[in-house]
Amino acid sequence: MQTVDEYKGYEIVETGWTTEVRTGFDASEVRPVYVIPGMKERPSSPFLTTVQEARDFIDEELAGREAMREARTATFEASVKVRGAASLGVTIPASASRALGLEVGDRVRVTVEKMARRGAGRKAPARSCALAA
Amino acid sequence: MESRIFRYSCDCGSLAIGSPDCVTLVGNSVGDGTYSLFVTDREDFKAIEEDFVFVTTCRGKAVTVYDYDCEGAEPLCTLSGRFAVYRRKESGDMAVVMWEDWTGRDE
Repeated sequence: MQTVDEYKGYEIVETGWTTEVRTGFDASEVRPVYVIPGMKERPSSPFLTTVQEARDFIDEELAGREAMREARTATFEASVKVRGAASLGVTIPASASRALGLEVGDRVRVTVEKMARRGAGRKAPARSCALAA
Repeated sequence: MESRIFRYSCDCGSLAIGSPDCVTLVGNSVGDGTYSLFVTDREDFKAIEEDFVFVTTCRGKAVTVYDYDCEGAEPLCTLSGRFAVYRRKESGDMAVVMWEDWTGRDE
């Protein structure tokens, strides 16, 4: 196992395994197999047989993870209405709840951005919450 | 021993191992298709062993592993020694792991 390249924080490691890759209609060649610790730990199909393939795999995997993260995120504005002993409560709107398929007991990540102070302006101020399930 | 990854196909859901006169079909537990076959020794197998389940052992001289489990199969590799066959969990991938290499051993 030998690291041959680093790309976007991931190592590309040569395993010592080889596989035959078809390179033309009647041509093939034996190439080394690479893995990416933390992303593609063990040799499995599709095999990464060049450093460029490994880099492309990292790009696609990161793009896929970002798309997954966005698909699991809802953004909404809300007012803080409930005051606990030392905390405040914000209601997750039904639309966001439905979009994410949230149930009681689910764990979520909430980022809070203060948009306006209470009483400022005629309408009730809102708070923005980004919610990721 | 060089660790190689081959492709094998099956219409009986298995990996064919044997000789021109006698073939055993080792089931992959998944079914028909084209999958990967890892041929290696115990040392290199350690890195991927966690994914695999032991199936059977085999021993002999000039034991051939075929690329297909029905008529018209071609040899992928020929092994002499004592080896184990594993299948990958929830995958049709198989592994042939050499335990004792008899290559070069006297008759």
